[in-house]
Amino acid sequence: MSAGGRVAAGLSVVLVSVYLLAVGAWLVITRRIPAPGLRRVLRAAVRPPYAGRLAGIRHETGACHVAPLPAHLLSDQESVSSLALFEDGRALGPAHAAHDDIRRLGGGRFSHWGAAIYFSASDGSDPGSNGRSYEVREQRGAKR
Amino acid sequence: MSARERIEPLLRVPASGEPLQRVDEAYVGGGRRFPLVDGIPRFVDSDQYVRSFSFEWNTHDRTQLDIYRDDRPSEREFVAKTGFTPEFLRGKLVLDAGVGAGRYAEVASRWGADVAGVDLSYAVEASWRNLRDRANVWIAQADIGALPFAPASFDVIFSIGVLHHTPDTRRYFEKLLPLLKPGGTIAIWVYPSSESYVIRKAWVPFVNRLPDRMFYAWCRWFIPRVSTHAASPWVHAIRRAFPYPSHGMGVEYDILDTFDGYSPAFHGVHSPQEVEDWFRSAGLVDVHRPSDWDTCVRGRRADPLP
Repeated sequence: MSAGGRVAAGLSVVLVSVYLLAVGAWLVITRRIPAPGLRRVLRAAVRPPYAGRLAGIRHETGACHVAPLPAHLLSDQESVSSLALFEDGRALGPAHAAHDDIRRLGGGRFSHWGAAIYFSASDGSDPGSNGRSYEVREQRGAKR
Repeated sequence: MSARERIEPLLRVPASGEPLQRVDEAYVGGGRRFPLVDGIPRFVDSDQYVRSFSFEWNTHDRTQLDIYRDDRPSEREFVAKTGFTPEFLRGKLVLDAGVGAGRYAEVASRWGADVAGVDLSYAVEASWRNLRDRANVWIAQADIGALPFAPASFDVIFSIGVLHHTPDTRRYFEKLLPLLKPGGTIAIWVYPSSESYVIRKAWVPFVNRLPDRMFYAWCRWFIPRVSTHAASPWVHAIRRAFPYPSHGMGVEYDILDTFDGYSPAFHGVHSPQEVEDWFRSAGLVDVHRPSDWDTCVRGRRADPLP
């Protein structure tokens, strides 16, 4: 790429980034894309980390299963979920997986989305009937 | 017999339906003349509302094509989204409605089908470059809402990832159906109404106002950086607000798909039930989803017609 081309590309990156940040802020403020309220974020920061065993597991599509979670937990739908998922005490992942990937690829992928967790067993079996326990824990400050 | 020899007798003036004849470097009939430009028949004067696709497929004309890759992603996706097999397609006359750079037309023609690939955008120049050596491929620039073919021309029609970029997904789907022979099969995939597509829909009216080259330059900058830091919670947060693909098939693939996802004029999202209802209410039979891709639906035109 020529020097002129590099300058034009660099300028494009700056201008488009500024534009997209402004659009993103507008979409969040107008709630066209999900984002948590400030009060909810503050509450999440001060309350004790959540831990609980999954119950009410139902099959969704492909390898994906769904279980309900408390609605007050910050999920990937509106923020960044800090939930870790364990299968008989062993950590599953990747977290924050795309739902289509969970459905098609399984392998322990999961997503905390709204008041539910979309997840898959490590071996593609049915978590509702494979006899294993599934537990979630909030892990604040952990890099996952 | 080549694809061109099979298709030319089926050519009609869009809308009026009068027959077209090849005269030198044009198709002529009903007082209309449709020229061949750079070897490609043109049934439209411009790329209308699909400017971004003209840009992206001529920029990434090889990125998704199996003939330039070892991992055959297009063949895998074609099978998953249509359920078609080489045995099913061999010898059939097939319409690829929205051919793009020709990734699926390449698969169908490699399997032995005679393929007519049409696209409203100048992507036809990319698909023509990629497939012009195949006698069983015929490419034309045309609007899939007003195609230049006689009714009941095709044994098989597929349209993968295209109809949701038209002004009205269902209406454009229904415009394809008369082109199907009785007993013929149609398979489509449209964007599902799942979370990432719905979020993207909120962005599209803003992002598609950007000049293509500027947004593309941004995608080339953005995707490699977020891919490098994919495990960061901040990158996850960005991805939730601004969903971008991570196919695991190379950064060029993801740059292309990010541009593709945000730049079009239209971005429809649909539920699987909604798409199946279109098929059933149009009188198609054997309606089913060929895989667990939610909004891939396939059906057959009844024979005899109801």
